[in-house]
Amino acid sequence: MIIEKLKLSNYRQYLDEEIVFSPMEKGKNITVIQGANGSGKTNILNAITWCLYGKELHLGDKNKGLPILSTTAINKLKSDAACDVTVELTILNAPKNRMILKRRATCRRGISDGVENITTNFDIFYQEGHDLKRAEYPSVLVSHYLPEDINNYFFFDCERLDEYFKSSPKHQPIKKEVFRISQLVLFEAVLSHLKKRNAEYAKQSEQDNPQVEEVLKLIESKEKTLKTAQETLDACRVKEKEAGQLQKEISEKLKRYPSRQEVNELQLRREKLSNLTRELEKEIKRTEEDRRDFLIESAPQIICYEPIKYALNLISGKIDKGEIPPDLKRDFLEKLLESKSCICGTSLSKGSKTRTKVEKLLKECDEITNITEELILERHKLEFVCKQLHSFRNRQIGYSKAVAEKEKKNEEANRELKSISKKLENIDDEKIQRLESKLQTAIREKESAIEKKGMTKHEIRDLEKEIEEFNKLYDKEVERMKKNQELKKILRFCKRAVEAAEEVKDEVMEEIRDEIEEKTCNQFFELIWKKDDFKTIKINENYEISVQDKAGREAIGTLSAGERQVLALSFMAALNIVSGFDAPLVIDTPLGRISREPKLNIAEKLPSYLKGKQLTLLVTEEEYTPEFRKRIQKHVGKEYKIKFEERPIGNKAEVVAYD
Amino acid sequence: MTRKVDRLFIRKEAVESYERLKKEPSGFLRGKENKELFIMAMIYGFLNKSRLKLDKKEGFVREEYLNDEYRTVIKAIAIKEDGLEVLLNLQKVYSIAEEYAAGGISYLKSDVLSKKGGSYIKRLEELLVGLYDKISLL
Repeated sequence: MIIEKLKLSNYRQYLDEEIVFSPMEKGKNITVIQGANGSGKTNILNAITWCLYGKELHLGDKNKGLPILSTTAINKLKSDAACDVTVELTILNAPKNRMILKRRATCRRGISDGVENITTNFDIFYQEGHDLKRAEYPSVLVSHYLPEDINNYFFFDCERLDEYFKSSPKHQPIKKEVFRISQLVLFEAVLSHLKKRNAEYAKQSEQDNPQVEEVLKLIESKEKTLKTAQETLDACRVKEKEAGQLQKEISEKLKRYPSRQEVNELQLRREKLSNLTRELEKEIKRTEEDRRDFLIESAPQIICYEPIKYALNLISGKIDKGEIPPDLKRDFLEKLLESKSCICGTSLSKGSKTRTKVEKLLKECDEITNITEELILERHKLEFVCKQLHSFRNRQIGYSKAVAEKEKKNEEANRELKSISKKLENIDDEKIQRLESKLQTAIREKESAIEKKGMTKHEIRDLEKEIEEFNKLYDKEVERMKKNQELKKILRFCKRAVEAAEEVKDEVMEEIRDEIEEKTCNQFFELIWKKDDFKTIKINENYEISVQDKAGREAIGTLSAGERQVLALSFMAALNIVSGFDAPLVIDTPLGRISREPKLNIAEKLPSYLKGKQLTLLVTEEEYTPEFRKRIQKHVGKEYKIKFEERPIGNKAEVVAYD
Repeated sequence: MTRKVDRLFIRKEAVESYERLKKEPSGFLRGKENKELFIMAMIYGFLNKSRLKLDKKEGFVREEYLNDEYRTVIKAIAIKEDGLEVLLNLQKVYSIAEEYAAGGISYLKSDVLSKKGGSYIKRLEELLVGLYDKISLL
C-alpha cells in the first residue's frame, strides 16, 4: 500500500496544496519533504491522521487550540459565513486498486470572531473496474487497512518515538500492538472460537447424562421380579395340578367306596353339581360382560338424552317449517354473486337491481343452509338413538334377570355341595371323614392356587409391559450415550486443537520476536558509531527492549538521545518488515538528534531495511544535509521543500519541488 | 365447513387417571378402549356440569375410531351448547366434547374406584335406570 497523493485545502497553513508521493518505481521508495521547524512538516502528518481518523495525532503545543481552518481563510470570511477544510488522501492498494479518502469539515466564523465546526464528512471512494464507488462504512474500511490503535508504527514522530525506550514507569508494554501489527489476531480469533465451542460442548456433555447403567439395573430388577413371578405361576400351576389330582383321586375313592352306596351317590351328585357351578360361573361372567357393555353403550344416550332430544326437536322444527331443505343454499347464492351472472343468464353486475335482490336473499339466508344434507342425516341418527332407548329397560331387566337366575342356581348348587360335604364329614366312618377332610383341603388349595395364578398372570403381564418400556428407554439411553461419546471425542479434539493453536501461536510469536530482535540488533549496530560500547540488544516476550553493555549490564538508560533515535528507527524498521503489515511509513524528524556518522549510515542502510515499503521523511535542513542527500538520492522518488510565508492575513505554506 | 378433526385430546395431567381406569384389576373399565373411556368421561362431565379448558394436551382418540352413536351424542351436546350453527365448525364441536371429558374424568375415576355403595356396575345401573325412568321418550 502506498500514498499516491495528498491534497490539502484550507488546512492550517496549507491553503491549496497537492503533494505527489514517490510511486515506488525503479527502487525509488522514498519521498522527502524538507521544511524548517514550525513551517508545517508535522502538520503534513497531522493532515494524514486527521483525514484517516478525524484526529490530528501529532499536534504540537503551538497549534493546540488553533482552529483547523487556515487563518487566511478565517480572515477572509465574513461574520457567520462558512468555509470548508478538506484533506484528500489517495492510496494505492494494488496496481489498479485506488482509494480516495476525503474528509471535509465545514467551519463557520462566529460573531465574536471564533470559529466553530459545523459538520464533518468523511467518505471513501474506491475503484471497481472503471467506476469509483462510495464505501458504505468508511471508518470500518480505515480500521481494516490502517487501524488507529497501531498507527504509531507507521506514522511516527521520531522525537516522541524515543519515549518508548526511556525506562520510565509510564512506559506501557507494546506487546499487544506488536501482536496486532503482526496480524496474529487471526490466531486469537481461531483460539477464541475453539475455546467457545469447547465450552459449549463441555456444557452439553455435562447436561446430557445418559442413564444407561441405571436403566439396565431397573430392567434387571424387573426381570428378576418377573422370574420370581413366573416361578410363582409355575408353582401355582403345580399346586393346582396336584390339588386337582388329589381331588380326583379322593373323588374316585369316594365314588367307588365299597359297601357304602350312599357315599358313592353323594360323590356322583357332587361331581355333577361342581360341573354345574363351573358352567354357571362362566355364564354369569359372560352375562356380566355383556351387561357391562350394554350399560357402557346406553349410558351416553341416557345421560345425554336431554341434548339429543333438544337437537332432534330443533332440526325437526326447521324441517317442519320448510326451512330445511331451504329453497336456496347460501353457498349457491354466494357463487352466483361471485360469477356476476345468474344460472338463467341474467347479469348480476354491481349496481344492478337483480344483484341487489340476490344480495337481499343472501342476507336472509342462514349459514346452516349449507349443511342441509348433514342436518337431515343427523335427524335420522338422532331418531335412531332415541328409538334404541325404547328397548333399554327391557334389555336391562333381561340382563339383571339372567344374572340373578344364574346366580340363584349357582347358590343352590353351592348350598347342596356344602350339604353333601357336611354329610360326608359327619358320616359314621372315620376313613370317609378323613377322605372328605382331605378333599376339602385339596379343593381349597386348588381354589387358592387358581386365584393366585390369576393374580400372578396379571402381575406378569404388567411386568412384561414395564420391561418392554424400559427396554425402549434403554435403547434411547444407549443412543444418547453414543452421541455423548461422540461429543466427548469432539471435546478431546477441540482441546487438542486449542493446545496446538496456542503452541503454534507461541512459536510464531517467538519467531517474530526473535527476528525483530535480530534485525533490530543488526540494524542498530550497523547504524551507531560507538559499536564497542554495547554488546547486544534483547527484546523480551513483552517487547521490552534491553540494551546490554559489554559487561552484560542494562545500558538503555545510558543511551544518548541520538542513540535512542537510532534504536527507535532500527526497531520500527525491523517491526514493519517482519510483521508484513502493508502500510506506508511516514517519519517526522527521523534524524533530529543523530550526529553525522550515524546519519550517513542511515542514509545508506535505511532504504535497504525498508525495501519494498514506501517511506516519507519529513526533515529539517539540518537533517537533510547535502552529504545525507547525496547518499540517499538514488532511493528518492520525490523531493520537496516547504516554502513558508508569515503574513498578517495568515501564514502560508507551499510545498514546492526541492530544486 | 372447517377442516376435518383428526383426533380428540385429553389434558396431559389426566393421562394417568385414564391409565389407572384401564389397568385396575377387576375394574369396570379394565381393558376398554380409549374411545369408551373418553365418552364415559365426557358424559360424566356433562352430568356434573363440569367443563375444563385444555392447556397442556395429548392426543387420545382418533376420530375415525368413534362410532356413529358416539358422534351423534357429541354433536347433540354441541348443539345444546351453541346452537345448530356449531355444526359448521367441527373443531368447535369436538372441542366442547374434549372440555367436558376434561371436566368429567376426575368424577368418573372417583366413582369407578369407589367401594362405597356396592359394585360400580350396580351403581351405574341404578343411575341409568333412575334417569331413564324420568325421561319422556320421543
